[in-house]
Amino acid sequence: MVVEELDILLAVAIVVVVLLNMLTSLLFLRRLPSASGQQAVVKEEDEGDEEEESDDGETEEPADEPTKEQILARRAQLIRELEQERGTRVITLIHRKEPWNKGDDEQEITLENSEEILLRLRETPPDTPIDFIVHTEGGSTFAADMIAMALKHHKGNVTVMVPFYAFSDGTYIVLAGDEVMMEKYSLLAPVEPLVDDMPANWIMAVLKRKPIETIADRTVLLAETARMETENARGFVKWLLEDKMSEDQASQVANFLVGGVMASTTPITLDVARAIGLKVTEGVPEKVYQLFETIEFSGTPGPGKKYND
Amino acid sequence: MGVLIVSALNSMALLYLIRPRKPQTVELEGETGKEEEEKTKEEEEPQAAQPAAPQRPTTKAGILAWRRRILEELGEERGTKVITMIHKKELWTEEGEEPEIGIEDIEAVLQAFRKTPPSKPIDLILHTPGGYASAAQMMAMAIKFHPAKVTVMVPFYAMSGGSLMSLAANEIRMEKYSVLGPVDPQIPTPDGMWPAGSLSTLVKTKPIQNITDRMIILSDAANLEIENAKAFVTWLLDGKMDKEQAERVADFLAKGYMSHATPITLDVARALGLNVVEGIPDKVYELFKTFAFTGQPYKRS
Repeated sequence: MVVEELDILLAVAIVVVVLLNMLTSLLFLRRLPSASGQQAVVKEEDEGDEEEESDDGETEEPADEPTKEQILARRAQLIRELEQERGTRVITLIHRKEPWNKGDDEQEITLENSEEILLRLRETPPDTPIDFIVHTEGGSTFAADMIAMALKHHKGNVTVMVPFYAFSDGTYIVLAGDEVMMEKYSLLAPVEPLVDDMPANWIMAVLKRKPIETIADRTVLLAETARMETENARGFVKWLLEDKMSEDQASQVANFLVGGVMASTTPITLDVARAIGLKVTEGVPEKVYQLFETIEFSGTPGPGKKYND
Repeated sequence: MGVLIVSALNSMALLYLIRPRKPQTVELEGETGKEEEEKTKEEEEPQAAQPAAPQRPTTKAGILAWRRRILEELGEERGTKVITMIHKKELWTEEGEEPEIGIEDIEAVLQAFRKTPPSKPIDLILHTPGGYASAAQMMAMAIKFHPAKVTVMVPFYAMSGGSLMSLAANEIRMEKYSVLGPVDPQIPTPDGMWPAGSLSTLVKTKPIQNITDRMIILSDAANLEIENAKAFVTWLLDGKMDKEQAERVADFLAKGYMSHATPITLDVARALGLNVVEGIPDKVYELFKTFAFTGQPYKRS
C-alpha cells in the first residue's frame, strides 16, 4: 500500500514538475517577443536590428515595396475596370510624385504630356465617350491648350474628373469638357496668365499707377506681353465655353477667370463652377480613388502624410 | 505509469512549444504589412534564440506600424477616426528637406476624410509650420464639410495653413503652451517672402516712382490675396459665431497686423470665440515619441 501510494505521489510530483516546466517555458516563450509588454513594438525592432545589420539602414526594405512595373500594371488594370464600368475611354493627366521620381523632379503639364494624350485621343473612336482624370498644378499653357482643344473637338461626351485639384492651366482642360465631376472640396483655379512669374493684369496696372519715365523698360515690355496673353486667355476661355452658354455669359466668365479680380489662391469650388454655368456632378467614381491609392502601398509618405485605415 | 504520463505530457508540452510561435508571427506580421511576411518568418528563428534588448523600432516599417497601432488605440478610445498631418523630420527624410504643408498632403488627408463615414467623428492631429495655401484651403474645406464633429488637436503648434485648418474645426484641443498663428498670406518676391500686408504698406508709404515695378505688381496681387484669405476665414467661421464677429476675427488673423509668428494661444483663441478645450489625450504624446527628435532616434528612458 505504502509503496503504491509513493508511486502515485511520485507520478503526481513528476506531473507537477513537468507541468511547471511546461508553464515556465510557455511563459518564457510568450515573454520573449513581448519583453516590454508591447509585442508589436519589440517585434518590429527585431526586424530593425536585422535590417540594420544587413544594409546599414541605407535603403529601406527594397524587396517589400512594389516595383514600378507592379504599380503601373495595377493602374492599367484599374483603368481598364473603370472603362468597363462606365463604358468610356479613360485618359489621365495626373501629376504626382512617384516613388521613382528623384529629388525635386517637378511634375507639371509638358509638351510630352500633351503629345501622349493627343495620340490617345486620336486613337479613340469619335463616338466613344471619354473620362478625363485631371490632377495637376498646371504647367505649360501651350500644352494645356492643345489638350483642351482636342477634348472640345471630341465628338463623344467628355467628362472631366477632378478628384482633388486642377489648378492654373489644368482649369482650361476642365472648361473643355462637356461635364465635370468633382468633390465639394475639389478646387479649380483662376487662369490668369503669369508673365515672368507676375500676374499679367497687375503688370498692366503699373503703367497706370507709376509715371512712365520711372518704369523700367523691361516692365513696359512685360506689360505688352501681359496684354497679349490675357487677350489670348480670354478668347480661349470664351471659345471653350461657347457651346455651353450664351456668348454674353461666356465672355463674362472669361473676364472673371482671367481678369485679375481674384487672388491666385481664390478657390473655384464646385459651387462656383456651377454658378459660372458648367455642368457639374458632385462625386468622383470610387475606382478613380483606387487609382490614386496605387502609390500608397509603397508607403512613400510618412504617417504625417499618410492616412491610416 | 508515471513515466507514461510524463512522456505524454512532455510531448504535449513540446508540441505546444512549437505551435504558438507560428500564429504569433502571423499576427505580428499583420501589423507590419503583408509584404514582409517571408522576411519576418526567416528572421523569427534567430530572434527567438537571442532575446533583443528592449529598443525602439529603427526601420521605417517598424515605426509606421508602431504609429498605426497608437492611432488605432486612440481612435478606439475616443470613438473617432484619427487622421494626422504631422510635419516632422523622419529618419528617412532627405537631407535639407523641411516638411511642411505640400501638395501631397491634399491627397492623403482628403482621401482619409472621404473614407470616413459621414456620421463618424474625426480627430485631426495637426503639427505643422504651414505651407502651400491652396492645399490648406482644400483640407479646411473638407473639415468644414464633414457632417460629424471634427476635433483638431494641436499638441504643440499649427501655424499659418495649419491654423486655417484649425479654424474650420468644431472643436480645437490644445495645451496652455500650444500655439496657432495668424493666417495672413505670405508673398514670395525676388527679395524673399514678405507678408502681403507689408507689401501693401510699402506702396502706401513710399513715393510710387521710387518703388520697383515688381514690388508694385506684387503688392497689388497681395491685396487680393488678403481679401481672399479674409473671405475664406469668414466662411470657415460661418455658423460658429455671428457674421460680424467672424469678419472681425478674419480681419485680425488675415490682414497682417502682427508678425506671422505671433503666438495665438489657447486664451487668445478662446477670446476670438473659438471652441477651445484644454488638454490633449496622452496617446497623442505617445504618437510623438515615435518621431525621431532632432533627427536622432529617440532614446528609450
